[in-house]
Amino acid sequence: MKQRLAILGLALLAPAAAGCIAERGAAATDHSPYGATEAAPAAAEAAPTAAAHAHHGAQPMGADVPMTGMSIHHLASEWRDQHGAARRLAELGGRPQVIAMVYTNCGSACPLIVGDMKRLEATFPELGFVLVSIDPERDTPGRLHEFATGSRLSERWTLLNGDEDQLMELAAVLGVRYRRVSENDFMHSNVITVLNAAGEIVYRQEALREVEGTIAAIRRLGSS
Amino acid sequence: MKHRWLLLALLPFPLAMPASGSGRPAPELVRIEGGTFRPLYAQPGETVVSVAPFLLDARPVTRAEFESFVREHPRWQRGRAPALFVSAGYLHDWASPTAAGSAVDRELPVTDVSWFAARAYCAARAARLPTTNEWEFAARADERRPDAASGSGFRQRALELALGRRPEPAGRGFQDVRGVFALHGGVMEWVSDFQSIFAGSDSRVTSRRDRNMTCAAGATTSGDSGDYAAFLRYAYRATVEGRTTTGTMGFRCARSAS
Repeated sequence: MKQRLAILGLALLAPAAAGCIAERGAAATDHSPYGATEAAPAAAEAAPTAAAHAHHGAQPMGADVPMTGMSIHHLASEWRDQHGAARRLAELGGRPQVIAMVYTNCGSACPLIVGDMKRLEATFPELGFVLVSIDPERDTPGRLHEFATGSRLSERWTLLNGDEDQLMELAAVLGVRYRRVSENDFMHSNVITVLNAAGEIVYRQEALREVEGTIAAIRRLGSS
Repeated sequence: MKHRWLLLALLPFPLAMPASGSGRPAPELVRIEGGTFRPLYAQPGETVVSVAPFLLDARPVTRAEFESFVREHPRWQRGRAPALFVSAGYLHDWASPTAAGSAVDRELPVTDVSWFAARAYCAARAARLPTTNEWEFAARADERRPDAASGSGFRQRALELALGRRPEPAGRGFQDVRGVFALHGGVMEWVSDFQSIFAGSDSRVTSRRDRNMTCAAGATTSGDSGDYAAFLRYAYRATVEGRTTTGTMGFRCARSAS
């Protein structure tokens, strides 16, 4: 009861901004495993489950990294990339990844997200970069390929197409909110998430935050 | 004080319902005929939303039922489910990872379950979680009418039921005209698409500045600012995460009507 009112209070206090630029609702909850700025290393909470969920099957990358409890690699669903190839999130393990959920028809915020990610790539060319489309019907693998070419994205970038179920799961894990608001447009959280090589969330760059914070977080990742 | 009398006045109705009060098992799934309603948060140009006919569990999933599920699906047992999918409080008050507790406990709605766990349970039953719109549509019924939600008496009751009650055994409590139990009560319920609910998308707190700065901010507008129980539910949905577990959040399953 008290807890519920507290949550209600938080919702009311949360910044009203919602949409392509700014949405912070998910981070306002005290249940959040990711603080407003930086996610705590998941190791402590993950410990009991890590063993039980030790790696199953051979994955091309990061196959020697055990799957920790907070690894997004637990999402086992199959995606299509911009080349039409079947992909699983676990394949992205083995190196840190920068991931965002966007749609290519988006005129305002999504180019800013991609721009920020390109800046990160200029500083950290060794990372992987992932764009997941929240508009899977329009953003077919072919359309994603066009977008990658048009935006001059390097081979370091993976663009993913999946169904609504997969997207809801990934959004639930990344703390991303989105909904279709018209035939062409979506309202969505502006969040860039940094995953470590094990697929754990180590940093979330939220609405209107500067990319410098993300750069610092990735540096810490590299030095740890 | 006035609403207390209202409550009393309405008491005879649930008692008159054949399936309630006797402890008889509730029908498993109730057909909810489709219809339209005005949700608390509507999109631009969307004064009403349509809900297609669907089937909804007549009562929340119980601890006993969830116990059977985790026995059949050990990966969803406490201590085994990945932390990505369940927060630390997952099924924390169970006697053991495979024992839901006393006979009394077993009939209570299961709580301390995450969206991921609820979803997996429904999938194992070849069902799914209801959508926000489906849930809200179903919850507009009272004992006599499928759509009672615009009345202030109903709203007051819904709010009191949501705030004032301890969880009751599944199949008890508020039962609506369709035979559905406890949509209003001490336990909130997961919906399939909580990710589509934005905190602060209420037009009352969305500033002009935000609207200017965002693609679609201010796009959702509150349809009905007097429905506080609904406001509470939307606020809850806007703040939880997929792995959140709380003692006030349970679920029931749904199916699309064929």
